[in-house]
Amino acid sequence: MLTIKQLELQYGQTRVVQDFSLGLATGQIGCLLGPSGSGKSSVLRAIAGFEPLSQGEIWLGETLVSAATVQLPPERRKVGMVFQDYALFPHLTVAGNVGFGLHQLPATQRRQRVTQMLELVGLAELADRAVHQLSGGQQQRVALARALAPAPALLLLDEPFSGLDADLRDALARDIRQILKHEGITALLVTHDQHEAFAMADQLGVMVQGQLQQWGSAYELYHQPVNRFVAEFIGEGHLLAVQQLAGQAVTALGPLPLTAPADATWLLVRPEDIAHDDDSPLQARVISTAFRGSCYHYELQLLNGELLSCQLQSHHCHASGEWIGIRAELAHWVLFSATGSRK
Amino acid sequence: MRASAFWRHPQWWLLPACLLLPLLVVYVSWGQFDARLWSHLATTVLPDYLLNSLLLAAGAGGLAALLGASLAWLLHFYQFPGRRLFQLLLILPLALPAYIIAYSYTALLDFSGPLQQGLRQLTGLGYGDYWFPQVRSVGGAICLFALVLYPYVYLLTRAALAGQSPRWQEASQILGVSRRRYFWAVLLPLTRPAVFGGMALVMMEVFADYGTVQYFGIPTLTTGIFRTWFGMNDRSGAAQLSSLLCTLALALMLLELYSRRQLRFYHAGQAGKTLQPQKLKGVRAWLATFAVSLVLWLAFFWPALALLVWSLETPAAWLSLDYLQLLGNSLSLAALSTVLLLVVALVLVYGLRQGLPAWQQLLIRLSGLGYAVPGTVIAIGVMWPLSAFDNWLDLFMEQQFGVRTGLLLSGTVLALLLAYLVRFLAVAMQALESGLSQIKPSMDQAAASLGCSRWQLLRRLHLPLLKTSLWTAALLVFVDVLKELPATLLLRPFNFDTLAVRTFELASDEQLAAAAVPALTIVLAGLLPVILLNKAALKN
Repeated sequence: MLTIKQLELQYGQTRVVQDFSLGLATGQIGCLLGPSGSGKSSVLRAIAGFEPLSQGEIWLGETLVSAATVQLPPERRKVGMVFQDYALFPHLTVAGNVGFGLHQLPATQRRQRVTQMLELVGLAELADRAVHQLSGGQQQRVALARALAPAPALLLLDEPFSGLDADLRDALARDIRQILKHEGITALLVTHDQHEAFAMADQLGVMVQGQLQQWGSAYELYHQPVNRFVAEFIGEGHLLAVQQLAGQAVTALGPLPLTAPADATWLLVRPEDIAHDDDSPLQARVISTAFRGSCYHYELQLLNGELLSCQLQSHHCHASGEWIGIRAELAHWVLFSATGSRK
Repeated sequence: MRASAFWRHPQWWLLPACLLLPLLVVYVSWGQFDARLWSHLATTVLPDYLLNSLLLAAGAGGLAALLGASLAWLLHFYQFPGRRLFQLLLILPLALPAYIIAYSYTALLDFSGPLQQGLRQLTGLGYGDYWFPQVRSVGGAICLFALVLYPYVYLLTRAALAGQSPRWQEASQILGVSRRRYFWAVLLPLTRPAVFGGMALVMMEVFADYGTVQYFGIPTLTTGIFRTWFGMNDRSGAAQLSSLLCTLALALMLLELYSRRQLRFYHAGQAGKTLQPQKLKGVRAWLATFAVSLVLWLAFFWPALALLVWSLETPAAWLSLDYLQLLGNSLSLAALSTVLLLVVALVLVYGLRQGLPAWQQLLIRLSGLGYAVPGTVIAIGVMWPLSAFDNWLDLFMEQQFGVRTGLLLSGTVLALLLAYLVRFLAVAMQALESGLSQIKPSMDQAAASLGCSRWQLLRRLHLPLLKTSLWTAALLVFVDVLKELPATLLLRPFNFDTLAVRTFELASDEQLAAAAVPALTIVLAGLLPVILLNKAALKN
């Protein structure tokens, strides 16, 4: 449905996105994840047709919509967009906003479509309200209904939940995923919040400094990060140094399996890779603890000064400064070379 | 607030009530209804008064709206040579009171003026050989009002456009909406309240004008009030006419309030990345530059330069005893009123901050209404009760003690000060309120918790923080008082002239060149708040 090949975007002399490629199949929900300033919103705006390309191609289905010399205007792309600030028109009612892009339809069909859309997002009874009378979450649904009303081939969502409370975010993300899946809509979302991304998307990409680091499922990003950027951006965890001792690769947790590549320098250790074991000879000092309801999150320090984190049952409590026994339970070994790429 | 405390603070209910009195008085005057007078008025001049007032207001309002909105639109969406400078210069006409531009244009465009002389020399035509538009007409007045008052529309429209989110345009574009439809379906409805609000302000100014219409000989409600008061010596008739004018002005104020409330919802808040203006190329760019320059030339530079040239023809006039006397009168009157206005405004604004009961807050808000009401109306409203008091006192003293007190209050500066207080209180209050709103109640509490007494709080926290707003308020009301004409004309003590009054009198006597010196002084003073406004705009 959406194919991006070797995309490059430039503002003046600064290159904000480079060598960016991805594909999204019909009905899939994709997500670009990254810190602010990583260029993810620029990619979205380029797909919508608001930014010219300096190199590369953007295809929607069989149509080339953007290239260095081609730029189909946004209104002819059949792309819908939900803006970060929603950009609802304050002088129109809820129904007026949703029907805004349906001007080519006859009045009765337009009314039908508006009602249908408002029912879809669960706001049918608010059709005649003024936009400023709605809550943030309701405004967000109106923005979604407005973008979906003309039945776009692709829906773009720019940080759609950033203006909302944390509780509301999760609920809305689930609702919206359900709506998109039910309607079979292809969508691409941009966010810096990985919980949101995991809740919404089938395929995710991590962007850092204008480059797409990895494109895959949430499982792949978490368990098989291609480099240190991705490993550090997704989930929690620490990197332990790998040293060569008498032909054997060793970390502070113990020796690596013999199959480990010789030039591995860093080992990724997630909190769930560490188990508590009072009998273990391996000791770590508790630096700080945080109660998270279902578990305790511990920051630990090993004898050699390296840091680790782990999660223990919430009934199990240790004070800061206490030394506890730990055991490594790594299901697989995620190793990186000195340059940060996966080994 | 407890009931006992309430009567101990008369400054928060008696003071605003007194300031509302002049407005109420003009309506109370209907108690002395004189059917003969009104049937006379209705069959002779009243239709003219109403028709001309409405025609002038509608014409000038419409023209100013067109001019102001197009300028704001042009400068917001397009880039062309001089754009940044124009953004600063376009509010200059605010410094020109309408009556002053009226005299300048009359002198510039009449038969012996430089334009017609030049035309005759160029074409060789003589008197009566050609047609030239008459400045001193309803059409001329409409054009001149629009030229000096369009900045109200321009400023409000500019702010409304700046508050619009560039995302709105993108959202429309991606929904397949054409630029033309975006203009009609989004841009225009979202800007309309600003244009209407500005138009209401323009029309309020036109209703309030006396100098221009009197000089042009156009009978309107304001000139009618003067005529009824002085010519027919009918005070209740003048007050009743005033109440008509007051009602029109208050209706406009409601329109302005309504549009401002709408605009609040239409403001996108932090709009993020602002829209880049589109660059005009070639002929179109120079056409835009030319059009804006032409407006500026006609609305400010030509009349102001003419005043400058005329005033330099008689350089001695700048140092004449007469001029210095006028300047002294004007400055001292303005300074005195400014101090009085600031004190009263401070008291009331602090009252609002205290969390007074709702009816007292409303009373204080209503005491600012005078800004919407023409000076003529306020003058009548002040004069009426004061002269009634004087007459009563005179009679009383004569009967009791055989002493006549005459016009004790109504012919003094006191009446004038009271009128200025009513007319300009809202200006001072608005400036002070915006300053005081930045001092959060939590700051007071923090200072109190750090051991500040109430007096120290005022001196160490409020005064330094309010300094800018105090100066702003002082400057704005000082210049407003300096420019004020109709109320000053009606209420000034005998033989007490100000710059504005003398400009008007000299111009009425066709001594246009002599009027240039006091007129230019007023314009120069009027430039101060304009500079202030630009500084504030640049900061944003």
